[in-house]
Amino acid sequence: MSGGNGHNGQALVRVEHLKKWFPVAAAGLSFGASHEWVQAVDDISFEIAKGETLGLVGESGCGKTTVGRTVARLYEPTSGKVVFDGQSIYDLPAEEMRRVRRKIQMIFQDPYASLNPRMTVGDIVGEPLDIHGLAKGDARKERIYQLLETVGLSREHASRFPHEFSGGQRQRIGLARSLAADPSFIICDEPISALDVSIQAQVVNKLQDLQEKMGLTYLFIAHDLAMVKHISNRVAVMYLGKIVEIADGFELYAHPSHPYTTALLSAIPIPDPTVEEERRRIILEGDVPSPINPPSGCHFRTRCRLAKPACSEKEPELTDRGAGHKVACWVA
Amino acid sequence: MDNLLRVRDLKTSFFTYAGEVRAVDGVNFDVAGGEAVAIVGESGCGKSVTAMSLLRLIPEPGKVLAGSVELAGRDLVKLKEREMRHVRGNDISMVFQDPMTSLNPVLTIGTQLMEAIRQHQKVEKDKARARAIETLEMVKIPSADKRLAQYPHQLSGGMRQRVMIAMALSCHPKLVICDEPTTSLDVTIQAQIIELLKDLKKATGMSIILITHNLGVVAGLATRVIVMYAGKIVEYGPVNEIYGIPQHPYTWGLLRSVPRLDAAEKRRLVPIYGQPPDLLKPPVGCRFNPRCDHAMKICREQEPPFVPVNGNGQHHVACWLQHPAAPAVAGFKKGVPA
Ligand SMILES: Nc1ncnc2c1ncn2[C@@H]1O[C@H](COP(=O)(O)OP(=O)(O)O)[C@@H](O)[C@H]1O
Ligand SMILES: Nc1ncnc2c1ncn2[C@@H]1O[C@H](COP(=O)(O)OP(=O)(O)O)[C@@H](O)[C@H]1O
Ligand code: SF4
Ligand SMILES: [Mg+2]
Ligand SMILES: [Mg+2]
Repeated sequence: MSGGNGHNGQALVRVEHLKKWFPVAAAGLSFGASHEWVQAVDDISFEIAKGETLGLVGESGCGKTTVGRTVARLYEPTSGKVVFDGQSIYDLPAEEMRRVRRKIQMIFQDPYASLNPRMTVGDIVGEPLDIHGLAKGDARKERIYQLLETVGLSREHASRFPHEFSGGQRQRIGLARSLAADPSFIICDEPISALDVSIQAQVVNKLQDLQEKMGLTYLFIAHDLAMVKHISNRVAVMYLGKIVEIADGFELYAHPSHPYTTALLSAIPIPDPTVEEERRRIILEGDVPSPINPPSGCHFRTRCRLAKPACSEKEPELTDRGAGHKVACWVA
Repeated sequence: MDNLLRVRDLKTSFFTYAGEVRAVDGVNFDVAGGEAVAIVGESGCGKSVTAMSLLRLIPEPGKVLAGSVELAGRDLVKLKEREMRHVRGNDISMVFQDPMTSLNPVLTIGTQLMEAIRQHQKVEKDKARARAIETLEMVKIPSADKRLAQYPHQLSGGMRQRVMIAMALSCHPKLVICDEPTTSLDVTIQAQIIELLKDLKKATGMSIILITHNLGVVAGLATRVIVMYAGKIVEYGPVNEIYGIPQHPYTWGLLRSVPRLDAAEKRRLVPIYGQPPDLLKPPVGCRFNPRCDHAMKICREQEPPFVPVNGNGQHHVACWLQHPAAPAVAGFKKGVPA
């Protein structure tokens, strides 16, 4: 692990000025033409090196899922570029995109909602094999068994249905499915948020083992900063459609720079009463503003302790403050 | 400290077609006046059923089978339903995980809050309104008078939870039970709510039972911690001891399975393998034995007794490792075997 762009290798994923805005019908207007926009992801850039895990944290609604889905091209972007393994994916014609899609997989928070309840576990895991024509007949069956065993399930599970499994087991089924097409990049969108702590640890350890064994690259989205720091090499902090800070996980914890990061870190409880007694919380007042009309200049300025007049005038850019620790703030 | 609440040998089961689900199976604990006690454990271990049993709000096919729940000396289990209704809201109130399911979406915050106040206290309408504003201010909701006219969906999740806390406090209960009050909220909002509960506890002298699976949240608020597993209390003690010198393998497991934000180096997480048992057919002996790294022969045969540890009469644990003849567990690091 190096401080700069994570691993010493080259970037597997490069995101440049990505924007994803959703149209919303403006209140009171009956003509379709006029729209307001939810600026869900608003001009963000980052890289993920091969074999690296980039964590993405922020409060709900800040745009994490939209980043994940747009990077996987499950959403078409409003503008910007994603370069995956040297190819600019939004420029690819459908046929070539299908080949690239195999390499980019996504796993979701709610494993149940993302598994078809009428399909057997075997068919769920095998579906990507069928879609991409990767295996048939006995070879397909063998591959399904092997995938189930890889994620810590057994071949007997193949003939059962999703409702017969616990939350942690369903998450493993989702993981087995995402591994079927032999991906190199997995976007994990809150994969453990719905699970009990003991089961979270099982899934996280499994993700780490698979990464080591198969050289996988992860974008790990979560709101639990402690878990994100644990699993990631670098961590990006999002606020209202923007990345406000990005750094190595330990560096971010030791030297948080953006006032939002500082507040977010101080809000995470630490399971130790003696530590908790000493800690000073920075309580953010109010709620996150609407992404439809985000504040001018720095999006965080309405809740920021350090805000100056300049912060409402111009947007701060994400700038490198040394060793790949990037911050977007006029004051910090 | 005097005990406000004294729970003894509480047993609650659900009589389903498949058989008896022993959701709460002989639970004992106390809550002192002005104290916050936490109940922790994985989902399905009986935390909510314990809380609902205290209030006698167990739905069919469930039943409180045995035990006593003494509130300031009065056994709630023996009260008539009419008397119990008076206890709910006046003496004990409850805050749930999801405020949206406990607020009525078609009524304004003001209507619901004033209704709650007038249900328990005979006051005029304008007096109730003043009280409603007062309670909203108590939970630090800005421009409280304007909020009265708003509907639940017009508020953010954090604000809705504040309204729920306001409702719970509106009649100055002695005890507020918070069942996963911050679980569906963002960490920043969670921190706000926990600070609020701390302030309110100090300001009103009320007691709190905090139910959560988040060990971090507990560390900042509670003075005592109850660790539940499969319908039973497996460890119970002062918060510093539960985190500093925990004694039960399940407590070790809970602490080892979460990463700490302040960890100086990466350490592999240690999960608790397997699943909590089906309470229709809990394991014989110690209920944790199928998942326990330290299980011995006796653990699979006999239930471990609940014994005091650390010699201060405050900390108890139900584990055969406490038996003088049990082998010593080695390799402790920061209170838990590494
Ligand atoms: N399909 C959509 N149409 C319109 N708005 C959307 C859509 N998906 C997400 N949004 C909005 O975009 C913002 C970011 O959402 P999301 O990416 O889901 O955030 P997160 O995953 O961080 O909670 C939110 O305000 C959300 O309401
Ligand atoms: N209405 C019900 N019918 C049958 N079993 C129930 C019912 N409610 C709860 N249980 C059972 O009681 C046990 C304890 O549940 P609960 O107290 O809700 O757990 P926790 O709050 O710790 O997650 C669980 O095994 C659950 O399946
Ligand atoms: S009694 Fe035995 S099985 Fe139960 S927790 Fe103690 S050592 Fe483990
Ligand atoms: Mg999301
Ligand atoms: Mg519960």
